[in-house]
Amino acid sequence: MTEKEVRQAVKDAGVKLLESGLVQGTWGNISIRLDEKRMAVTPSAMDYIRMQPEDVVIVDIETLEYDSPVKPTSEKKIHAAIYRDRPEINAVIHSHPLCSSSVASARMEMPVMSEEMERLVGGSAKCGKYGMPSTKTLTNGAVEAMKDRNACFLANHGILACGKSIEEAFEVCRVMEDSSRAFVESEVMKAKGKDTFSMEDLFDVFYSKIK
Amino acid sequence: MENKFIKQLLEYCAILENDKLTEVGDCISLRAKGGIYITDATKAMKDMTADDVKFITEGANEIEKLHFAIYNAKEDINAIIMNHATYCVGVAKKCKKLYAVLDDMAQIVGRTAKVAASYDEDVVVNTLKGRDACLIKNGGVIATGRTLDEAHTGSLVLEKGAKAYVEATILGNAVKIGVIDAFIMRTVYKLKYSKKDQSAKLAEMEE
Repeated sequence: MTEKEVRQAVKDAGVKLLESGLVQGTWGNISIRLDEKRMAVTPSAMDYIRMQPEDVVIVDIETLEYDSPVKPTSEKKIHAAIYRDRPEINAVIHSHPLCSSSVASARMEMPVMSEEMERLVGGSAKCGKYGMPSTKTLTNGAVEAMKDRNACFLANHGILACGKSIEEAFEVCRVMEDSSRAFVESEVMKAKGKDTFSMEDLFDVFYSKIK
Repeated sequence: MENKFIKQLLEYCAILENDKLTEVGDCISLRAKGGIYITDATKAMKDMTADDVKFITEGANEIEKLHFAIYNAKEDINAIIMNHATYCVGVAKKCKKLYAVLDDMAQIVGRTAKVAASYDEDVVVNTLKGRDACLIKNGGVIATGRTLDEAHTGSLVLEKGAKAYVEATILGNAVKIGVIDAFIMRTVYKLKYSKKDQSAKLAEMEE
């Protein structure tokens, strides 16, 4: 892919994430590896609709330097760290889908919920060590939790999903959200002893746990 | 010429409807010179038309009085969204506070969102002191902002935060964001991160 095509692919992936409900507003960030040394990342604090391909920032994977008046996402470190650690990875999505964010808030390892999850994520989804946004703790925790996996939870934050292509990273993101929903639902059904449940059941379980 | 305030309010009625964050009784408003533009709380957001938005200089009912009381108490805001969202409503029934278990809530709303005991204007204004949003016991959500976009973001983040709090509790371990971490994130967000986007949105509004 040429640089122009990569910029467009980053913009298109942002809009697709937004339209799929896997991210809201300016939250989350996306990158595609341009070559061995560079990645194309989303800009900081700009929503995906307003963002233009020329706003996508080309960042050096080793030094994090960039030559653009537009600031790259503040989470560029985490993207670069994944590319450095995983040469086979060409796209990274950091997002905050609703159900995945719930599991991330529990800082739990999610077991394999489906064959699709096993195939796309590569096993259970671990949770990286908690760290404030843009910190080394968050980055190192994510790299560790992503070992042998294509996704992980970022504690109290969201998820990181990667793939050999942006399309694959998007699919990983989607399966993490589907699996997270199934994970929560299985806990409600287990607590209520039912095969299906209503919102009333869900709140019953919640109220019983906050007593 | 089309009134930009009415146009914006109708746009956000449609957005709230699309987000499934509303029910009849909800209403949104924008501060304008000499008064406020406010939607009709008796109409569903999906049915709202330009004829259902009025410009008022004082409150004629409890909801309108509440909006004026909030604008008078918070000079920095220009928009209010009063809505109902499933998880916020569920949390507000039994909890005194919604704790942030996600860092976007800590950044955009704060470490906690308090639950006001009622829609009484003094109670709500007091609950909103130093905060941009709150929940109402046996009621919905009130989110404020410099723009409707900011108030809408607050409302969305609160519902997402409430869902995460409820579901992480069900999973057995809702880990709250620490006091110091939340303070740092909120400060950085207010001073730096939201400024760029909201400045652009304010400029759009003033065009």
